[in-house]
Amino acid sequence: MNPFALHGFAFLFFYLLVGVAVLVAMRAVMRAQETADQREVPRMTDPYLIACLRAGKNEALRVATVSLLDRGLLVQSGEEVKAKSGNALGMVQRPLEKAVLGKFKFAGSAHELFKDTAAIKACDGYTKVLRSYGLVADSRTYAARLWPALAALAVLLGVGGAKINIALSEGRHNIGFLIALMGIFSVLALYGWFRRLTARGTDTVADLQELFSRLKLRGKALRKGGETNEVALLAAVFGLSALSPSDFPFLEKLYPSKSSDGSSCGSSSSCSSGSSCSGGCGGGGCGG
Amino acid sequence: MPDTGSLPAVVERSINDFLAAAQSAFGNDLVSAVLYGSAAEGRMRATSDVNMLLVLARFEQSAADNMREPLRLARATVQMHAMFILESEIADAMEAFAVKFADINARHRVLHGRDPFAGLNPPREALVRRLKQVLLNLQLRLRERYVLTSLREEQLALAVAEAAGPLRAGAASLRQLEGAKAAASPKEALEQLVASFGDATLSGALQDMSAARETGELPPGRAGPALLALIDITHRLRERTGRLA
Repeated sequence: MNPFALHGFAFLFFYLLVGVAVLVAMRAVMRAQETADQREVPRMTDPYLIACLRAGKNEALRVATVSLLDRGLLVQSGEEVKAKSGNALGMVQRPLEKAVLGKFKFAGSAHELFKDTAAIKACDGYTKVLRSYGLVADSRTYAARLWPALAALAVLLGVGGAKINIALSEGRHNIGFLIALMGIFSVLALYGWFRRLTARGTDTVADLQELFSRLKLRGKALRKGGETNEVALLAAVFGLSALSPSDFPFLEKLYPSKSSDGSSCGSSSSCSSGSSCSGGCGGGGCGG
Repeated sequence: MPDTGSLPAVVERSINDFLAAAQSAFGNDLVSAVLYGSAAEGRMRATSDVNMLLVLARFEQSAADNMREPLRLARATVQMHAMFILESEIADAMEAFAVKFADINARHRVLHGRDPFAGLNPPREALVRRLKQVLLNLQLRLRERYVLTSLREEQLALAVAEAAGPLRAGAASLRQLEGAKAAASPKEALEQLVASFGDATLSGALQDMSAARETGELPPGRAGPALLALIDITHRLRERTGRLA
């Protein structure tokens, strides 16, 4: 059976299957490449390294700020934070903590830290370590992902493009849904190409989340005060949302959760393209 | 790989990592590594902590510094509490903390080295004296806790839960002193002793204590009577201990 002879939903369904299969195959190839690295990932004990792995530099800076607030070395006033005293800098050992306390020698917004040169430099050190263990993608990773990604895009755009060509040559113009599907799959393929973590990195994050699962269970009962690094580790492994807002009220002040009124509407490309949305599908037109 | 028995995978992994770090940090100075408490029995709950005893030939700063991150990590992953004790201190510790060490002696698993408690038992007089002290201390603390927190019942449930550890350990020591056949666990030792009192209210309080440990809460109206019953149980255990002296 020639799949290009299919029309409407039948072809869209076929294309959906092709798209999913192509993406799965692409990810499988990339995964095989990225997990072939046999270097052992060392046990991660530094919360900032973990935060940097899971969600990037800014997350490491957020976790460091929260950890120092928990220890009482930073104090919060409204939306600003400030080092408690000049002695605070001498109490910490990690370069990132030194950078954060150095930045907040004078009161400032927590977000200013994201642009601070010394803090960014400290985070770069973490990124370098993560790259050296093959957990975060580097130029070699992106290059290795090039061919699987291009092959996936070629199949996705080739199959869709061929069908569009056939549809147009037969005088059918209701190709909006197909173009939308091609767009969605292409974006997913590009995401697979450019995603920050390698397969090893993704596995490591999952492994850490399993290792710290019991910490998450007692997250709401953690003792404040920084005697242990449980608060920092919980935030690093699961995000700041894992901390109790009632025990850490400064979180909402410093990092207000993004409000969403849900009104943003991604317009349907199929409808805006002028193809028949309301009644054409039943007639076998949307798939071109 | 030490035999950690039937423990959750995450707990077993954390214990193994900690043990490997201890062996690396202390080298030949690590005489024994001993797991004790509920983890040693393989009866852990989701909220149970892990108790580890490291018997050392000496405690050096450089080695201790190398254990800082592993212990902090193990504390975060499995709530590990580590006791660093010198080999030469064991006999003194057994006398000074007789109830605790009687419990350790009864429920432990050697993960590395030789069994530091082989052939050792807390002296009987020390155990009686210390048991009376522990139980009296518990009574006083529970009374204060009742007065301080019983207007906030949800807080009282925590007090009921927290009484379990010392009460069960005390019961196990008392059974040992009485020469009874060893109970399978301190929990069972306490249940056996309370059953011997023949008071259904007291047995009910033990059930409430288990429930409070499981869930951190009790139904309205239960925590106050349960805590008062635990105080009564503690008092009876102490009286019974006194008759052994």
